[in-house]
Amino acid sequence: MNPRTLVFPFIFCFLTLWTLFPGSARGDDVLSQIALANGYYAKSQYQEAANIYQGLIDRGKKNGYLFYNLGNTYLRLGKTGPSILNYIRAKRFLPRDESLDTNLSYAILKTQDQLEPPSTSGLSSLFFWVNNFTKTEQLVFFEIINLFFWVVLGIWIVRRTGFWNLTRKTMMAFLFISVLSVGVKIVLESESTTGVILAKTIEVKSASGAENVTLFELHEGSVVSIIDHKNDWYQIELNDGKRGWAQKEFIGI
Amino acid sequence: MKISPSIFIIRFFLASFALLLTTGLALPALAGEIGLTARVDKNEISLEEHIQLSLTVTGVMNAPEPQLPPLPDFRIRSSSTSSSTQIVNGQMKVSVTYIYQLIPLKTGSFIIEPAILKLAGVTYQTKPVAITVSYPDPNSPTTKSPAYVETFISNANPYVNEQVIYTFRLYRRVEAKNLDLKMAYEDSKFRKQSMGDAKIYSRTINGVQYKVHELSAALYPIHAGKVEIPPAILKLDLIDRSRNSRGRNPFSSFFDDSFFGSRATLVHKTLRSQPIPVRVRPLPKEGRPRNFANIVGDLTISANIGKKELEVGDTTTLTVTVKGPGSVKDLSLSLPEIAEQFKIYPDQPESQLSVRENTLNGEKVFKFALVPLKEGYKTIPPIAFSYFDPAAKKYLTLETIPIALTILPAHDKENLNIAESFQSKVPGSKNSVQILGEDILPIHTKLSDFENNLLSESNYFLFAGGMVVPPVLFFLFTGYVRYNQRLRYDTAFVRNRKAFKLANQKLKLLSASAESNPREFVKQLSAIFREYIGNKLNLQGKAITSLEVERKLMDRHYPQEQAAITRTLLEKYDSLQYAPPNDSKNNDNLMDESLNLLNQLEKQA
Repeated sequence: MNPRTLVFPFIFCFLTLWTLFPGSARGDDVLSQIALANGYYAKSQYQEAANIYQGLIDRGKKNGYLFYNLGNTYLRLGKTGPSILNYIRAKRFLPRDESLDTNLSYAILKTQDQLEPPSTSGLSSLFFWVNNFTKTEQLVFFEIINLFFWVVLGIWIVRRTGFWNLTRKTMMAFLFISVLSVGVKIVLESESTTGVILAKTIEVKSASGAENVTLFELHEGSVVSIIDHKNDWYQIELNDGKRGWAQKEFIGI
Repeated sequence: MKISPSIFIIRFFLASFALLLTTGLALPALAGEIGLTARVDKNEISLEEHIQLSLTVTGVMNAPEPQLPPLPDFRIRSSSTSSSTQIVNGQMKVSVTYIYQLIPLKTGSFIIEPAILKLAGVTYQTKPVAITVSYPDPNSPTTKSPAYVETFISNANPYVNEQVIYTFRLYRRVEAKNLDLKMAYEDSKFRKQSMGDAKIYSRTINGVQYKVHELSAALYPIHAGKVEIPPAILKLDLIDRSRNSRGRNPFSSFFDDSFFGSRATLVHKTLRSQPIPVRVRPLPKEGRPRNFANIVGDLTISANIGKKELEVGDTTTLTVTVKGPGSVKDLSLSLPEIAEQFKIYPDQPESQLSVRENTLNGEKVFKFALVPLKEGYKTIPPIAFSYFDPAAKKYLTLETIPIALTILPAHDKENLNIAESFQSKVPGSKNSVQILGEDILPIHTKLSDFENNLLSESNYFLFAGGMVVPPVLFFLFTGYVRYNQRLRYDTAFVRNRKAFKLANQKLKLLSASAESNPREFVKQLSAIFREYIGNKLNLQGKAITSLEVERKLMDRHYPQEQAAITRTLLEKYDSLQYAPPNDSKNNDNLMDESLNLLNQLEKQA
């Protein structure tokens, strides 16, 4: 079969895939719910607003601004734990949002322990830009670079000039960096799980089990790293290296 | 008589061999016994000089290096080898001399023990050599040496913690390189403070001009008693430029120019100064103030205030400066009891050192931010500290003059902001915004931002598509490019690709023409079919025989049965051209048979 006959179906399929956006989650109903919740918030009816925001999230709606608004609402309700938890969730989607950073810092200052989110690891220090972009942004960047790379490679096949050779190599370097960035982001997200204490006070034990020695206490809103889990217990670590076990039901992740 | 060239060459070689033999027999024999001797260029030296030790092995060629005795009192700086061969009256004398440069490490009388050479089971050894090392003559260094050093201190009887300037000087008449100075001192007995880099200047002594390198440091004795500052040791290479002797040469004046070079040699020297005894006096106990903090020197104190009239809650800066030669670095000051009237914020003191007239002067600046708490006329009482003045040989107390301040009532009676930095009150600087409260930033209300992102993480299918589709398209594109290139340059490929289409067209034309002449019909049909075969196999189809076609088809992996059918059909064409069928029905059958086979072959292709 003539290869020319194969090209057009592929282009058609490709374009069709891209024109399928946006996804099924789009809906006026969701937006009207958010508008309603925003209105409640403006009228200081924070509990009603929180119920709507939380309901949307429970139904699978994941959006950075939704988490941010819910964080604000919980903070207005005096619930620093859920507030900080939702700010941290929002940060996954809005890594460069200054309002979010400001409110998160403010919320942490309101806690008794004032524990900051876990500091960056060696890998994220090396790939310093990774923390400033979401995984989706990095995937999109990779897709664009991937497309450009193959286009340039195609042009280079028919026009083997110095310029296109240089462009090809440059795109290859970008492609390599973007693949590496996505990989590092996936590794970092899978390795580090941040948890927030939701109860007023919890006892952190030396091992998983209520009968063990209480090492220290944590209070609502403390941010910890989850490093292991066993049955109903999480092993947690603080920024200063302290470790212990806490019950899962008191920690939001 | 004429001699042939070959005989001439043979005779020449024979004569040369005979000459070599006779001269070889006359080679001088090695004369004398094997011996090992040691020699030094001088037996008495100063610490600043070095000895050249020569070990000579005679009577043997390629002798190994003799084994030196242990030399703990000397440092071996370099070594070299020289050899000589002399033939006198047919007797050959050979010798190898190993030369070592020995630098003394201390004064005294020393014996250089015998060096040993072991050769063919026999041990040869030198005689011991006596060496005396003394301190260099301090009285007349200038007349002998091209370079010498001296050290001195500003005060040989200092008090504890009194500044003593320790100065080192190098005087040199020649150029010097690779200077390495060690100004040793015992850090348990002195505290040292550097006074900067070395000064270089010229000085004429007894009519001889010297370059002088001077380096100073301030020493502060820690304990009372007798102390000795050890000799400063300077290692350096002096450059000895002795020009080639061309005195009687008429062109000597012309060649006696630096352009033509002169012979320069490096002479390594280790120069030592004399040790300096110091007698450190204890600080007197009589009259020692209670607040004395071991500050010794000749010091002054001054104080000034930023503004003398200010409101309650306003800030002013009190600056107290203590300076002079002495150990001000250790000084600490505290304000007298004014805490009830002022909030006091002491700043980190700043100290700096400066060299003036070969004395190290210190300056320490204390700053206090004062915030008045009450209105009225206030006085900052004198700030005092005690120190010991070595010149006056007594303890002295310095005080600042009292400073009067007018404190006005606060303008708006606001609460005192005690966290305010005094630096922000520098005249001309802007006031910072007063923070009255804190709150979070508002919620996000732009509804379009709440829609799912264009590419949410759940669209894995799309991400996978975006990842895979570009390379797939690329490979298709590459295939297309290659296909086009083959069409352009590969004739066999083009013939193969177009064979069936061309044959079909021609067969249709033949059917449509309704050729009445059966012979002609078969001939054209045969030609079309052979052309198809030729195109498929890239052969000249019209000229090949049916057997060749069968073989070629089998070579191209066509089934044997198909190849045989093709051969049979071609033979049928050939036979029918000579015995054509009489009716058109036979033509149709033949056409169908041809088309059928053509389709089969094409499918197989």
